[in-house]
Amino acid sequence: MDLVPQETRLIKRTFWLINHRWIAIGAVILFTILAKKVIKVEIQDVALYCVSGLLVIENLLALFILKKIIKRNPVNLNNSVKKVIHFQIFADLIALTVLLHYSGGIGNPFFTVYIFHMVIASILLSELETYILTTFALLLFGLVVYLEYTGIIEHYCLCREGYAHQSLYQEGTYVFRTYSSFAITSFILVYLASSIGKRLRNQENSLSRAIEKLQKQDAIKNEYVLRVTHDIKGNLAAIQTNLAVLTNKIVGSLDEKQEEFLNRAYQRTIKLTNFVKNLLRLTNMRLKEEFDKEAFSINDVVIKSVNAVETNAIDKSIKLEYYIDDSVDNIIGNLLSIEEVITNLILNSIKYTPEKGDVTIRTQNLKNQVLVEIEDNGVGIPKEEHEKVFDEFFRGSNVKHIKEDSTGIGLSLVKTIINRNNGKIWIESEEGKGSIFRFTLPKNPPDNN
Amino acid sequence: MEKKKILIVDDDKDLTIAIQAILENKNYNVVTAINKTEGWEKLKSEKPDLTILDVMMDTSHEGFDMAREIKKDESFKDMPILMLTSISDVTGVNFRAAASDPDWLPADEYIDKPVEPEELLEQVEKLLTNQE
Repeated sequence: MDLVPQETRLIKRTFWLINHRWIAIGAVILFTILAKKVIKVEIQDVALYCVSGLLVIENLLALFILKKIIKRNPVNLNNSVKKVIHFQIFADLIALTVLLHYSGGIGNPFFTVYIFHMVIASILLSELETYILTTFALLLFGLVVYLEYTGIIEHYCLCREGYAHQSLYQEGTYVFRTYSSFAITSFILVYLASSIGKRLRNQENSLSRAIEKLQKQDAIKNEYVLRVTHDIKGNLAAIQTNLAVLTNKIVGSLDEKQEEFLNRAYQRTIKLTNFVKNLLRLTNMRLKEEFDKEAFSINDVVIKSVNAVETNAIDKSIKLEYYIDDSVDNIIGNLLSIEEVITNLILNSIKYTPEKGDVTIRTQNLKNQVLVEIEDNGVGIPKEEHEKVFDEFFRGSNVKHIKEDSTGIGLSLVKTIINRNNGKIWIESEEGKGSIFRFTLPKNPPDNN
Repeated sequence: MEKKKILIVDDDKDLTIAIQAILENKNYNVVTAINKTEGWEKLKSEKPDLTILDVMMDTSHEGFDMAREIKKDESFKDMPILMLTSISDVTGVNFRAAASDPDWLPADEYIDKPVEPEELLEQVEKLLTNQE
């Protein structure tokens, strides 16, 4: 779920209101034309067009004010936006009442349109505001009905040309029954809609508060991991270099036993340093918001990575080959991190492929992306574990007994990097037959990462 | 032939002593300092042929500052600087890439910690040969 501040939500809904008013204005004009020309109703079309014109002005004004408010971005943004909503809804109600007066008053079944505003207000405004607005709407409508009933203002009939005029607006019982049932229905509706709206708003707010809290805590945790691992790495670096002095016999020779034990300690220190380095990179990548991007050739990166790890393959007599698609365009991304991904994946394949096996890298040009795949005929990964492969500290159940230097962080780092470069990575693998790691990267990623 | 003199400026004594052993084994003359102030004193009194400078994360940017100051100083600007880094893990700065911008980071070469004897000697040799 995205974290959308309350202000943003309110602004979005106000724009929504403005957009829907254009549709409503269109509908009024269309109905007027239809009533006049097709159904041939005696309708005050000129008056209705005038009101539509006023609605257009209202909408443009609301749009203008809203944009101005957003640009100014005042401290009490919420209140300013709410004022725009109040203005719109009150103006709408007055316009609607005038429209109804010119199109049959209580004899026009469309007087129920008031309900739309009551529902919108229940969603956007507070309970009290909604009740005030509903009362205002009912008073306006009641005034028109009363004035038409008493003959103080003229009643415009919604009758077909050549048919007798109906005089329902003058029948007291009918007017009273219709008006009062409409008023009661309106208040019940507002009650229901606002209680649901209130509950939803509360839920939404507590959810976004919870997410905000979680994100903050996650960032604190990551910073903590970063600090701690950095300090660990400093100590490790000193240990490793000191051990290197001994194992390289810089300060004197060692007997066979001494050399063996020191070498064990030295090798384990190297392993631990690499683990800490990867953990640091992973955490750093998660914390860093900015990410340098440049255009580069993914084919060149593949060739460079293959050259860098070639000796690892030769040590295990593994046939390491690459097939690059010359049509692959340059991509835009973070060069160093992607180089790390490819090197990491090739080393991973070499690690889990038995001697004399094959590791093959291919690149392919797709429409808006490039595809890179790294295939091996190694131990593979059981199907039920495919989804967990990229989790931190995960090691395949079938390789846990293999004495390999694996920390379970490499693939997690790979996935984080691919995600940060707006790409996708997935795996195809069968236990005992081998694995194919595939990833795609966009040629032109979106700016926000 | 006269022994080449190397100055190591690093606040981690345990690391300094190991680096010193590696260099002395190859017949380099090594002097050490634990901070920028002592570093400058030794620079002036010992006039080394090369300085190995730690970024010194814990004392903010002492290493960077010292490297900039050295490159601005008439008597030392031609002396090569080898920078020891590990700060990149935290800052995310890629020192090798940044090295192309001498105004920003005026060191001649970079080695990521932990220091491996082979890599260290290779870089030191290269920097001293280039200087001649």
